Amino acid sequence: MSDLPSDLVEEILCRVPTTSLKRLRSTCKRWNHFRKAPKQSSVLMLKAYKLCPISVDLNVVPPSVEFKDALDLKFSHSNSGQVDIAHVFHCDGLLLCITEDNKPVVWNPCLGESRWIQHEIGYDRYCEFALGYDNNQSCRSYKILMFWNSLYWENCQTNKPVGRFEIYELSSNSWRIVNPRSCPRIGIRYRGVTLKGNTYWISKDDNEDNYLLTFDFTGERFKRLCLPTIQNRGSYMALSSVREEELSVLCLNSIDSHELEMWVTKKIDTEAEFSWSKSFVVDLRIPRDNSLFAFTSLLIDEEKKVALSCNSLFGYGRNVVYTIGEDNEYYTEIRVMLHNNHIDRSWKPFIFNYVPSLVQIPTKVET
Amino acid sequence: MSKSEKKIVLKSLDNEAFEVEKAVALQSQTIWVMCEDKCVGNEIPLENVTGQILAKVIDYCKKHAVVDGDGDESSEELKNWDTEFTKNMDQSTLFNMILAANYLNIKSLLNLTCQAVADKTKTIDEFHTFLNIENNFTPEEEAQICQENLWAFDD
Repeated sequence: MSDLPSDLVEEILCRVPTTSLKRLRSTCKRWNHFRKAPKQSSVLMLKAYKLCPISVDLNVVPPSVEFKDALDLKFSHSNSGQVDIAHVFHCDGLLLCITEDNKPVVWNPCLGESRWIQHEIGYDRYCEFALGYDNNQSCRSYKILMFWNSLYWENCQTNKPVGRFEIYELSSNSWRIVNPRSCPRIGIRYRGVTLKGNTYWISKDDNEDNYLLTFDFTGERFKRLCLPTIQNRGSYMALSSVREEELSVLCLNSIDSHELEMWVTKKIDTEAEFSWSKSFVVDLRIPRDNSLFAFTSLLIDEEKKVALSCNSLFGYGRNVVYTIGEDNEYYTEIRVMLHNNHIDRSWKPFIFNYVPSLVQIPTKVET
Repeated sequence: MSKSEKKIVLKSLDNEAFEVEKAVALQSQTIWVMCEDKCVGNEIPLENVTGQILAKVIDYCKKHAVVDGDGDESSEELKNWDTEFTKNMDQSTLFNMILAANYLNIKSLLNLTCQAVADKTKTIDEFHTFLNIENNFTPEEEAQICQENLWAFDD
């Protein structure tokens, strides 16, 4: 019927709902050459070693939340076929999954491509990872940062190279040691989130004050940035990357506070401009339990001021996610059924936005 | 500025002439560049667009120019207008609108029309027909890809 130029066909295809992507992709070899992916983002949660899509219906107050069946992850070269995921990182449609036995694998679910990443001295459970990209080059160069976290004294007891930073590049398939020129004290307790190629963590400095740590994958260096101006010490914070557009942080001011504050970044492009604005506040009006209240959170809709979150006891018996929102200041718990309740679990709950892309993981590495 | 300078004449492929406010026409980056370069007079020939399609493009530009100018219409009303605008277009018109929006370089119209095609095309077979895409996989390759793509965004 029509013979649109391929860039215009791409313009149309990238607007096709994600649900049709898989079937569409399997219909034409040309798909493999399309750069753009669907613009829709979806919400995923890591729970009990599996990634589960979550659908949130914002047309009702409080929003209804539905867990879909866990994604069936089958990677190549995996013995059992099934993989247990303990941690997950997202950047630009790529997922970096760390398995229960501490092995990293990069995966693009849309394309069904994956690659296991080897390291000469292997990995252990104290390895910290981050996935990002170098923005300097004409095409993005995807990188993984890895180091042994000095927070765990076990690391100092073994011969792990604590304080050494290594970078793996997807294009070269090899690790190299980097020397970040200035490095603030890294006290990372929660996993980082990646936005526009750079990774951000909530970290503690020598005074036990929270600050925002970022690793710039282009310049390969760490920077210290500000967090929202709230009563800092003893506050609880959960960081998220909202549809790869902005950062959000959910804060509980202090143990005695009933108020949850949602903050979002206004500008992130330069250090000087970096700033936060308060999006909404919810007064919980209920006594909290002692667990880390906002262990992971995701701002679902900024206009409707809705967030999805869960506390650190998720998986330890208190298996609820909660929605909070400004309208009527609701707080609603949703019970989640877990098939396997691993008490000594090494997975931690994580709720995040997945934005699909057609970034390829090259099978043949350039030499 | 005299009255004539504020107006501009757009001439379609089939020689249909449309006199429009300059502010309306300048939403097209292509026309804007042509005017900047002063390579054309007050009459701009658009060799890739038929009169039927150009009339619709001008409707769109008029609507959006007015709103940008005095802001008396909410963005929601504009959105509704956009929806109505593409609702009853058949696929062939939509494709020609996409080509025109691309040629004239009107970003928002290109977005709108591409989204409309994506929304209207519900099945894979429709995509094949409309986008002229051939299924060029062998059955074995197709099975292989389905095997690889165990991605559960499907409902």
